[in-house]
Amino acid sequence: MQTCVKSPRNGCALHGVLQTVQAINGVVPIVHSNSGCAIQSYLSNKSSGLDNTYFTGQNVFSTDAQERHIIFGGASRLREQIKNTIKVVNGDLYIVLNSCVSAMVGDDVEAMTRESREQGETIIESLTAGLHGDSHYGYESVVTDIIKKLPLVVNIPEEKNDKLVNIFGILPKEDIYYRGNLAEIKRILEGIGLSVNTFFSYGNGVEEFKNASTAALSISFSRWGNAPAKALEELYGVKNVEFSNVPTGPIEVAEFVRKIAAELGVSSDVVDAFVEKEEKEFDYYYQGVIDDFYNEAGSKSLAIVADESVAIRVGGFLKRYIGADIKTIIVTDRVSKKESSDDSENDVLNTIANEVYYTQDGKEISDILSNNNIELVLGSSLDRNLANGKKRTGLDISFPAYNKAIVNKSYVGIRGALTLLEDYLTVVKEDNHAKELELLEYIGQNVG
Amino acid sequence: MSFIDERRVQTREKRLTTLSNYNGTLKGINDEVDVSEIKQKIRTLSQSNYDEILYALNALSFIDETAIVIHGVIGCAASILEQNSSRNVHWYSSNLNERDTILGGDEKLRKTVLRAYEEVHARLIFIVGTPVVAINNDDVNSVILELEDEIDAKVVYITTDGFKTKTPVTGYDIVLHSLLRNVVDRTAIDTTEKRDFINVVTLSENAKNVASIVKILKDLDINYQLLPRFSDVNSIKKAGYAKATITLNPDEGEYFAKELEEVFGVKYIKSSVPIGFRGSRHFIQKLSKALGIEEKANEYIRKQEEELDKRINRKLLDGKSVFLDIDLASAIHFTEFIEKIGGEVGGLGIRYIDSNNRDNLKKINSLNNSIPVIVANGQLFEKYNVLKKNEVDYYISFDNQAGYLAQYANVSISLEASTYLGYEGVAELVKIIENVKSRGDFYDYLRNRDNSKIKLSWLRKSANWFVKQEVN
Repeated sequence: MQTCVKSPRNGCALHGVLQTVQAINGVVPIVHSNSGCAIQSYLSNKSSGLDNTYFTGQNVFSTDAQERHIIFGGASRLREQIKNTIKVVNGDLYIVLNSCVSAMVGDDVEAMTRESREQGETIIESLTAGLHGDSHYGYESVVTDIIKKLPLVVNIPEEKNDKLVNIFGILPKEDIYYRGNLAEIKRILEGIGLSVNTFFSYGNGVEEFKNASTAALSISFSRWGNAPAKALEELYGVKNVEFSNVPTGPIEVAEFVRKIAAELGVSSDVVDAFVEKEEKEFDYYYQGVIDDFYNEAGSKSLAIVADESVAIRVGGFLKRYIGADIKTIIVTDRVSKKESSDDSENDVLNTIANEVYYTQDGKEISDILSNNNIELVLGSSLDRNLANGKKRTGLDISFPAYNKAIVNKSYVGIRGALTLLEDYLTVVKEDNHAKELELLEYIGQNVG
Repeated sequence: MSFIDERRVQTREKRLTTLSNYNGTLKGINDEVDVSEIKQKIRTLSQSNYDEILYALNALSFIDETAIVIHGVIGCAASILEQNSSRNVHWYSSNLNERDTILGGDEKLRKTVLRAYEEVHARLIFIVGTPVVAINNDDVNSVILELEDEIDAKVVYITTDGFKTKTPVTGYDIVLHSLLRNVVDRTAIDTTEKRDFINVVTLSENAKNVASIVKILKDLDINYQLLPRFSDVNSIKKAGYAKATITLNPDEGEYFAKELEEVFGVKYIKSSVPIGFRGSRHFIQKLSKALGIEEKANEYIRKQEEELDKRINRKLLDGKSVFLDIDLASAIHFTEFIEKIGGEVGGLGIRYIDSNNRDNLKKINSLNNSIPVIVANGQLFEKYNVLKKNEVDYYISFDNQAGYLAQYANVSISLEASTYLGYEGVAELVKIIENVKSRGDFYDYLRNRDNSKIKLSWLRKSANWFVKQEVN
């Protein structure tokens, strides 16, 4: 039985659905719910500087279902809302989103959407309600829905593009740096001559979803990307390659591009030249901080609290390039997904950290961290807050990240890895400085 | 008539015929509400807005020594991440799923409350209702009865559901009603001797605004306790022993103040929102009269106003028009303040109006009767329309809507995180408006950004196109 959660960090499936479609340029969400559902999502994202899309907060069109819609049904209210939203807002695609209230009452959301579709509107629905899972499931579910239902409203091109790849599994807002991370992956793949559908970053939108079927390959960077990638494979024969995380660091990037290049027949000369350039760029900057690893960074015992793919990439990078001592990894996104406990991701996690746990419960996470003599925590702000009001030293790598403004920062690839390196070393230095001051105070003169 | 013995507080619509859907002119709204029973309207197009659960959570999250159990789907607890960013909130979700909506979530609720009690040792545990629980009709009260034998903490049900009211401020009423019924010490009812402190009811005010009022209270040596936000269980318990109660916003806190007066004999000092010169003066004068410190207070007011007067340029706004997105209680003195610094009010967005606060409209009758008025929680799309048709120089929001409206006014200002109450509020407001002059490029850049998402055909239509009379 799904149990209660203290200080839950993940929203419901509707929140996952909503924050995913909010991140697609040109999509207008129409939520069939009581008035506060979208605001719950907005406020939680706002706490981390992530309410940064147009149709968010009080700008989300919503039926604001009232008691009468629960007693008598809300389908006609939804019909009215769909019709009127289309009259007021320009959109490349309207998506009707379901909620707990509507699902429990049994409103025929699909029929109401179909009605408008039959009148020629580019509108589809996602029937995933809040009670169906958490926000990660919401991403998986709505991206799959878009892929499956888009042909109902637009013509899907048939001609294949053997240089085009789709990116799945980097979740808007769940991955707090999703925009920057997607941009960096795009840069890397473009570096070996490919075109990239990231769907959720600058310059991408509904058109990229439309073209997804023409791609030569889908790349899934976490377990949450597998379902949409498989939908494309089943519908259009687009091959899917799964990775447990986004490559972070020169060795990982080289392995990644070589694998993708092999899949798509990219010339090895192109790949070698790109890899060499990237390795040199990384090493140039890496050399500049190399002393810090010996003097400052390597000896810290640290914990990572994050979604699985984030934990693997950040942990793997810090272990290989800084020699970090990673005591503990706490995975926060596998609670709602029934996965076997001995899959390959577990093996990877066990090579990175001494102990691996799976929970999103605030109390359990706090207890694990307190019992393991952790010096630095790379996680969310919740994991760094202590009951006494003080903060554990660390870095925000997962949601929620309080008091942050996030624009296009990245922690993946080559340039993102350098940013991670820079931020991590800064935290370590600040921590060491604070400890040195304490020591100086301790050893100060004592002449009575 | 006291409501304290009622198990549930009525919604604002039922209790006060509250209207939260209107789009027209100041004259129009005056006519609309100048009747014995205000007729309800609906919107046939709407945008998401705060519900009473969110308001309740906002109030509860700021009470120390408590735990909050949100009985529902995990997302119904999501907004507390925002409150938790500034303080350590103990909150739990009973984490209901599809199965629980069929079989009921009572057992999960019981386990969650027990867990909260064991881990936090809270003296007071709130169970907050959500739509799933309300539709499913979970018997929360039976769970509470059962638990009260097992644990040494008070468990209080906050009977929110997210769909019975269009007026989110009902959430404050529900919290205050529950505190009155379950937490405030009833032995105070029989006490005629009150203690030397006052209750200051604060709900929606940010910490900066509360600090500005606290400064006034401290300067005047008035003993006070803040309620319910920024308080703890003991403070709430002893609310009935206070010698008086004052609210920072009567539209939000009056329910509590009136009940304390009627049931516990705690004098209710009815005052304006302490905003601008007149609002702050009125607040202090009412308070000082009730406490018998008029002389000291008048001297304090004189000094504060004298000091501020020196800093205020009465032509600061220089005839500029301002659309105010504000609550009605705050509008009374804020509109005066805008006029005092040389501006004119060119439109109003207010959240609701009801039989309790409609007289406030008469207090703003110096405004032009033809200015546009929107009564709405949010509904930005209507504000785009109104501001497109009624050009104003400034759009000032008490919420955080300025970013959305930036393309529809020359200057857009959000006061969500600013101080606007008390004398410090006056000083900060003046500073904000003074700074506008040096930020012209910034506002120009904001205003000229791409604005193609809203259809021009909508902006040409009548702004009240989607507001209809409700037919029962």
